[in-house]
Amino acid sequence: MTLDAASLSFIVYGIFVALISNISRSRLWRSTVLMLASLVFLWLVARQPILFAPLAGFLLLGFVGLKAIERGWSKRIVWPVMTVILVYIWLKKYTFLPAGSFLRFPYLTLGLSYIFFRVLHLQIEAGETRAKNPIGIGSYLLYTLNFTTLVSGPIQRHEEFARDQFAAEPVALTARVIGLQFERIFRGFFKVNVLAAIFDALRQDALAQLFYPLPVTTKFFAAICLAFLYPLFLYCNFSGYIDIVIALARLLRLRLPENFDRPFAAASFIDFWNRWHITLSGWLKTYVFNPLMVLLMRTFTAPAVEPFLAVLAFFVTFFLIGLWHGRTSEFLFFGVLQGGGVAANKLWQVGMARALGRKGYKELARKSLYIAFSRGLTFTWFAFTLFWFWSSWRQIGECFSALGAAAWLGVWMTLWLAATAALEMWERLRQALLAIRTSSGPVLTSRYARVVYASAFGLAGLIFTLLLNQPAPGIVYKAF
Amino acid sequence: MREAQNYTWLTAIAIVTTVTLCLTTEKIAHHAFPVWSSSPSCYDTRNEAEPRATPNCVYVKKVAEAPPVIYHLNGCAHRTNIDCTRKDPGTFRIAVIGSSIVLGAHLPEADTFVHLLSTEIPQTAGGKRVEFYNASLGGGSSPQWYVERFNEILAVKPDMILWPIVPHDVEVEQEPGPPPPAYPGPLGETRYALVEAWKARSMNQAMSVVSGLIRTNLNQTSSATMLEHFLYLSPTEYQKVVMADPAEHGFLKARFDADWRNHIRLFSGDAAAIEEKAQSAGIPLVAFMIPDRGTINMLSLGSWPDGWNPYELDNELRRIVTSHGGIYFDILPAFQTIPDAALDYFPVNDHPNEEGHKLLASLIARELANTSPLDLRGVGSLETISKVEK
Repeated sequence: MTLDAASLSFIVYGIFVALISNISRSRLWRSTVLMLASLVFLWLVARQPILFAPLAGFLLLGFVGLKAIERGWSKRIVWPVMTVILVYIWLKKYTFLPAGSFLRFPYLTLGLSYIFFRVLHLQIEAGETRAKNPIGIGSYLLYTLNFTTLVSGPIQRHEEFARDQFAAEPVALTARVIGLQFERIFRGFFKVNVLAAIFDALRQDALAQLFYPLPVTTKFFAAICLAFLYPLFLYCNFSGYIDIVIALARLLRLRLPENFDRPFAAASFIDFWNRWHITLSGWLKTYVFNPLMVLLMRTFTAPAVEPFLAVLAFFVTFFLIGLWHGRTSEFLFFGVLQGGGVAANKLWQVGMARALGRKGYKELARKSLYIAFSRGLTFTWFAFTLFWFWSSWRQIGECFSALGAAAWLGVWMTLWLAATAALEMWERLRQALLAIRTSSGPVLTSRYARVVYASAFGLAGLIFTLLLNQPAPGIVYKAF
Repeated sequence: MREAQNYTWLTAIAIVTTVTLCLTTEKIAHHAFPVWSSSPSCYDTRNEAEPRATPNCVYVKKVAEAPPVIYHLNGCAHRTNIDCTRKDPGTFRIAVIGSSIVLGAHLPEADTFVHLLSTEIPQTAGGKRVEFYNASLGGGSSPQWYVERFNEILAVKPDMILWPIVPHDVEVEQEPGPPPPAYPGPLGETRYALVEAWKARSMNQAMSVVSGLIRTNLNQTSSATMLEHFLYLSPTEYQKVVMADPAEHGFLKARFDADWRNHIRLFSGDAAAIEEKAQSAGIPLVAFMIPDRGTINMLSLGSWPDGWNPYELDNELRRIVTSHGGIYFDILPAFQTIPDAALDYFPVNDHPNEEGHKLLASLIARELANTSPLDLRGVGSLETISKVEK
């Protein structure tokens, strides 16, 4: 039974837990069911107690730190927070730490990254409010171990979790809401098990073709496919899983935050990160970008440098986002590229505003051709950075030497143009379809249309899964 | 009331959508991948232990992924237009035995590698005209069958026997066991398996029985063939499919499991018997392995995960054949240098297509030139191997 993936077993498990949870509306019942379901989930993923020991230790450490902050034992929150960060880095075996310092036995790190964000969030918020809203061990464990968000998020704020989980009158679960959640589950299942699986296979075929003794034109096309398909694969893989967990949580009367908002519609890299892994970028904006901006503005008070302070703060924030993804030097560079992309985007905005004036730049940014090319460039840059996300330095070197510098430059330019055209067509098609309306709204989003494509997605997903008879595809973000 | 009516409508829409999609897809698939045959078939495989082919028989068969093919059998029920009862004294006849790939299943006879070998091999060898005689019975044959009916091979007066071995030839080697238990009634076998799962208190077992039943029925549809056909065109996807079913592709594992060790042990016995009969008749026997699509796919991709080794069966076959005095050559390493070689096989039915047979003919001719007891120096142009440089 594969529960830590977008598998049929996971969906059946989630629906079963939702059924049990909805037997009673009482807080105690729902919390007990969620706690048991989360513990059973962990147990089914790895059935040896020793595997859980480091994770349990990390949770205990987080809770002790939280209590220390709430009760004022620790005057400054920096010590508990730093301890959690260091232990996290150590448990995740970041390669810059000495290998000899790591635990020698295998252990479970599933969900550790997401638990890490939640624990830090609790500690920092506790530092702000001190003992106003103390969190008990039960609430702490429910929040950090919630099986719907354990594997790959989304990273929910505790107050949002508590608002739904501990409400005297839980959020309504009408037939319409249930129908919408099932539609979302089918959509998510289809994204992960059909679309992402196909994109991944085609991408790997393209990668293999790069190393075959084939004509340069064939390799050129393979390189474009390789670059173009990975972002699509990653989006379908991650957002599909998030669709499933958001829907399952809603069936448990929990409203999880959205993690994606059509990221490839973004016309700038800054906007892209407002639409991709929203809860992660939101977390870092709250706890890194904003405090850093305040600190920088207090340190450098000249108004002329203010825009450049934002560039620096953007770089640091998105560098950390990149760095969080992995523990190797590839991810360090991935962070540099993310931070660099966002910082360059900010610099461009500052420079253009100075050159054209704010009004002139705003007018330019509204032009559809500018938006289309910016969207294409955003996609292309993201696709480029992802080479350091899925690959190693050695493989990147092999890929680039398979074609040569000039050909790769051609690949990226072609990808930019192709992405511009494809995404523009997609946006126009979407607008045209949504323009078909009845008095109650667009036909495409009506309940009848949703039933049609939910049935189609469900059928396709099921047939694909049964026919191929393979283990459910892994969720890429589970590894982080 | 109105709301309840609405949900009835929504349910009806879901059912209509699902049924319409299923029917439409099946109709399209049936049209795109039709299957038919003229009856009766020339091959009678109802009795697995004793498959039969009808002499002087003609029939047409169309499988999903290939065009219709005429099978024309000669007086000895072999798929060749060579007269089996006569042999010109100036002819050096090489009888090719084996199963359906050797038969050239799903391709016209002129496109089969056995036929193409005649053009790859020089017209004369040792002063004699070389002739390749297809003595295969097709998918129904097995090494054991050739042991029992070796006289039928000798009857075509071969000067040499060429034995291409496919993994299936090894897999069919089974100990004769007790007949499988009868499960009366509809879904008898499934009901039995479900009861066993219940006894074992295993939810996983029960789920795999149910999904297995659905999969079996799904695989009977044209929609499944169409979907698999397109999915399996991707070498990566096909590799995943192969690795997800280690029971069927156990010969690709680096270490054979107990079942495969048993298949190999039995095959070794039959191979020894065949080689002994050939030696007694004074006919040299040359064998080699024709890889299946899964093996070629792995070789062509150039890498395979730990625990897998596409060369393992080939090595084992070499050991078996040479230990009994036969000659063995390898064509597998060549596939590692050919991009997308798996595309030279029909994706679902796992037989080589026209390109695949051309490639096989070239590779076999090259190896025959190096290893056969015949003097075949200056063998063919190997034109089709130029695929590699394409």
